[in-house]
Order: sequence, then C-alpha cells, then structure tokens
Amino acid sequence: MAGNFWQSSHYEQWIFDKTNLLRMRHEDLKIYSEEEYGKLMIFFSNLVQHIALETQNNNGQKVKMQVIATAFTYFKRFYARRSLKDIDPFVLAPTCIYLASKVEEFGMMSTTKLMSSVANVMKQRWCFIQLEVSQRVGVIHEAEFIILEIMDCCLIVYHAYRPLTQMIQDMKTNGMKDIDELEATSWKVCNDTMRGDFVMLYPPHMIALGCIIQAALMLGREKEIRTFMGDLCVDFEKVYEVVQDINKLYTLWKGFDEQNELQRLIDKLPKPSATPTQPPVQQHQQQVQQMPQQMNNQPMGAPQQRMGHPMGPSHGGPPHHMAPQHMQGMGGLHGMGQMGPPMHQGHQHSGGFM
Amino acid sequence: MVETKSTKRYEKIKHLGEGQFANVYKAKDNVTGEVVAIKKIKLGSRHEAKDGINRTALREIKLLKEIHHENIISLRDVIGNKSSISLVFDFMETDLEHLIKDTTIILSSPHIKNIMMQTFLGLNFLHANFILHRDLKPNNLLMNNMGRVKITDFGLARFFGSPSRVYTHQVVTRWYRSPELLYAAKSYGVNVDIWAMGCIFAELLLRNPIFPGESDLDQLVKIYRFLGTPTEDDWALMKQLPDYVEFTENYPRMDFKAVFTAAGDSAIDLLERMFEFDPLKRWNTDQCLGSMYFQIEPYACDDSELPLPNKNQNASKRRRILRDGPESPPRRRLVFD
Repeated sequence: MAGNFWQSSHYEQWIFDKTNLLRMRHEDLKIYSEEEYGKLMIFFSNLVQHIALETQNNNGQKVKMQVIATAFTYFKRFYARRSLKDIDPFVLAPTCIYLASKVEEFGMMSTTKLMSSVANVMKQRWCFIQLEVSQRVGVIHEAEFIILEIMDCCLIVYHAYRPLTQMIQDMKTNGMKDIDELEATSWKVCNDTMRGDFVMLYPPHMIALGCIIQAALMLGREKEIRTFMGDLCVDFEKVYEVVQDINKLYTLWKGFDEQNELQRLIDKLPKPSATPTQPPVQQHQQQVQQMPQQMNNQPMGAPQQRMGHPMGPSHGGPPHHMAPQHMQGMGGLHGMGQMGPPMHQGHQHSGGFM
Repeated sequence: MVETKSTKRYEKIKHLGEGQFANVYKAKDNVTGEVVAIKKIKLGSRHEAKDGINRTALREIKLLKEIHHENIISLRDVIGNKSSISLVFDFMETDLEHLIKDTTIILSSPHIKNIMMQTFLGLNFLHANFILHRDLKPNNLLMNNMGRVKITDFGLARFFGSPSRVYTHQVVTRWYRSPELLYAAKSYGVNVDIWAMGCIFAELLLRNPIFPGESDLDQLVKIYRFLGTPTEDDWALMKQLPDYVEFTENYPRMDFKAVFTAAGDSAIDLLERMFEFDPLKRWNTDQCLGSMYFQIEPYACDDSELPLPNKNQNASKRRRILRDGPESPPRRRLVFD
C-alpha cells in the first residue's frame, strides 16, 4: 500500500509493545497459555488463508496474498482489542477476508461462498475436528460493522512485502549474485510472519529485514548480506528481535501437533456467557447478534497510542513516500509459503526500505 | 469510530443535499457542541445491500483515516449499524460551485489565486501520498466561513502506482474529464486531476464551465473548439487509446488572452500547462505550485478575505472575530528555495 507509514493509522494506533499486547489479551490469556494462544493463531492464519484460496471473487480470480495478509491483520487487531468470546473466530475469519478484499480493491466476494468455504475447508483440511460452523449468511454483514468499529476504521495495513521487494532490488543493484534463492526464501519467511504478531509489533521495513536475515541464516549465506546490512541506517537491535521472534514462531509452529492439540484448543474457545448451553450453530448466530448489544454496555477504550516519537531517518529508513508498487504477481498462490517473488517494476525510490 | 452506541450524539438540523450515493445533513454534535455535516450513505438496491458496507463509503473511510491536511476534509466520526452507514465531517458553509454561480460576488485575482493555491496544496498532498482523487469539480471543493478550502468526496479516489492495474475511465464528472479519459485510457495518473483543476481554474475566471459537454463526444468537441484539435505532435500516443476517434474538423486554437481578459500572462501560462493534451506533458502539482503565477503580484489574498455567497453574509461577521484564531495562518504566496 502506498502512502507514508510514519503518518499512517497503522503506525499511530496499531503498533504496540509486547507487554501491552499481552495486557490487551489478558481475558483470553486466562483461558489459554501464551503458547496455546500462539498456536491457536497459527491455526486461524492457516484457516484464513485456506478460506481465501477456496473462495474466488466475482471475476473468478484467486485471492492475492496481500488480501490474505490484510485479512489476518484485521483478525488479530480485533482480538487484540476484544476477547475471543465477543465474535466467534470462525465467523470473523471469513468476515475479515470479505472486508479486506473490498479494501484492497480486489473485487466482490460472495458472503454465501465464503461461509460455505469455511465449512468445506474445515472438512477437507481439518476433518479430525468436530465443529458446527454457522451457515447463516447475514452474519458476515453484521460482523463487518463490528470489526470496522473495533478497528476504529483503520483499514490500511502496511505489509513487509513492499520493503522486502525494494531491499532485494537494492541488493541486485549493488551487484549481489545468485539472489533468486535468497529472494524466494525471504518471501517464504515473510509469508510465515503473518502467523505471528509481527504486524502489530514492528514497522514493515524491520520485518522485511528480519526476513532477509533469517533467510540468509537458513541458507548459510549471512556473510554475503553483511555489506548490504552494513550500509543501512536501522536499529539492528530491533531487527534481531524480529529474527529471534521468527525463530520462536518456527519453534512453536514445529511443536504444534494439530491432530492432538487443536480439538482441545477449539473446545476451550470462550462462549458468550449468556448462552452457555446452546448448541454450537445457534451459539454462533446469537453471539454475533448480541454484539451490538454488548457494545452498548462496554464503551471502547481510547485507541492505544504508541509511546515515543516517530523514528527519524536515522532509525527507520526514510519517512517519505514509497515507490508506487502494489503486490503484483501474487495471485495463484498454492499452499502457504510457496509463493514466488513478485515482479519488479516501477522502482523510483530504491534507496528506501518501505 | 463507528457509533453503535449512541445515535443521539448528533442532532439533525437540516437536510443539505442529495448526491448519487448519499444524503447530506447539517447536524449538531451534542458532545462538542460543534456543527457538523453528516453524509448518510444511501441504502442501495437489494443487490447492493448484499455487498455489505458500501464500497464508496469504505473508500472514503480508508483514505480519510490516513490523510490529514488542512486543505482536505477530515473525517470526524463514522456512525453505523447493520443497515446503514454515515460519515461525520467538518461542516463547511459553502462550495465553489455556489461561489462561482453567485453573480453578486466578485472574484478578484487575489481571491482566485488563494482558492487555486489552497486546492493545489491539498491535491499536492494527495498525489504525494499516491492518491488520485478522480472527481475534482467545484462542487467537491468546500469552503468554510474562515475561507478555508477543503477537497471532499473521496468516493472515487484510489491509490495509484500499481503498474498493471486497469482502472475504469468512467470517472470524473464529464465536464472535468480529461481527453485521455474520454478516449477510455485504461491507465492514467495524476494528470487527470490536473486537467480537472485546469477546468476549475478556467471556471473561476469565466464564471461558467469552460467545457460543458452534453455527451462524451460533445465533450471532446467542446475541448477541441477551444484548444484546437490535437495533432500527433501535441500528443503522440493519442491514436493508441481504445476509444480514439479521428476528428476530421481541424478546430483552430482560441486566443487565451482574448477569452480570459482579466487574467495575467502567468495565469494564462499556468492554464495552458494544465491543459496540455499529452498527459505526460501536463504539469504536476509541484510544477503548478512552483509556477510564476504563485510567485508574482497580485499575491493571493488572506483566507478570511474570500467572499462567501450571499445567504451567508452574516457569517462574515463571525469570521472577523475568528480571524486571529489558529485555524487560519496567512499564506499570501509560496516561496521556494
């Protein structure tokens, strides 16, 4: 997304420090350990991705990774402010895709198809899970308003894909050889970061840098990128924190045995207290219908402002405009992390990291 | 924030107007006591209702949430429930269409220069943030009683810069539509907004729309009768556009000085640069703001000196009191290094 990250709602309202994020999730963290919560989010990120890929838009196009990444960011933003009991995540997941496809100008997706995709995907991919998924179509429209409210209408999300593309391009310009493998691996890592909290913790250029470093480490090519890294003016302590977090995410993910753990995690999903004995289908419906009501009683807190000042160029790359480039060539995604690099076009500002 | 909780926060004062997608109301914000404008997005047909939150409204929300500039309308609030959505904006007393049409008002050169400068500053900010407005017209340039001009209506606006994305050419109200759009160009840029600005500039000078076309074809005729039929020298790629039609009639170019009698050379020069046929030759906002027009006398007037349409005469009294407020820094001319 074009624009200036340092003046964006993303930077102003949706970057938190880790302690804050934990505090905001405290209600759900009474039910789940931090590790379990992380695993649950890995599952839902996979779910969002598979629902999106299962559902085409009205032009029969496959959903782009950018839309998926935006959708899952909405999902995480919602549950950062609210509890899992406020909207059934199996309803919020398709809603986020629906909203993201409109915001990213991707074309119209049918709510009916999205709802049935949820059921299909669960049947195909997670057949070992017992779950009744709501099929009521209106539910997405209702949830759409609620998520817009909880997100305080902040719809534009800055992903790491654009700075990543630019940095790789810079490396090429600087004469680094055999970059294709590094590029592909960085993209894969970048796709994987969607599963963690990165988008709510770090600015996009730092995530991108972390992805490149992680990719280089995985390929044993860290020496080659040293000169490139040396020329950057960026807070490397923070970037290494990103790399550490990526490793933590991979460890968590590797240790996540869905077959044995997922059912228990889903069974623990908190339900609205008013309807504890309802069968699952009705619960889904009532949960969402109740939302506006609940909102009445619980006024939202003021948007959390991040402490500190916008980082100047010496810290975080030039805070001016980015080269115009959207995530092209991102369609036709097959499976997670298998995406090829994007086309390189329109670099006007190759010095920037955003 | 979407207000599902209190519909009583805003009290309707009166209905201001109706657009294609929305009704606009003047209302009072009971929390702050300020007067605001509420744009209530119309419920579409049953088909559209299936689409959830109206896309036009969603575009406005997503863009206005990110851009904050004194010459761009600010989104104060969003009120919604499951069937309708309303956007709350600053209340603006009038718009340029009313100003231009009010024959009792004299628009002097300093007035026009001020209006053009404010609008260009807003537009420059949009373009610098990679946003195309795509529907600039006098009606979408609002003015408050402090003389502050703000660009509004972002329902057609979108990000640009994605090389292979295809845009629709059915944007911009016809009279303000550039030749490349009339020829159905599928990729275009900031130049479409500049053309519209040229039309607005001309309209401020003439007090009438400069190219009031009655159909898309007539629109081209009106343009060519004024600017002359473009040759391939003027615009090399014109013949490659999807809906290109050859004009057998060779209209001569009118003498700008004879038409815009009140305008100085620098104004005419700027206007000609904004009316370049070839989008690539047309000036951008930086060039326009840096033009001689903004650097020489007569300088732009102070915002507070801008006239208001007649019905708002008593507003000008209020304005004098507010004049020293922080809202209105005097900006008489632009100085560039």
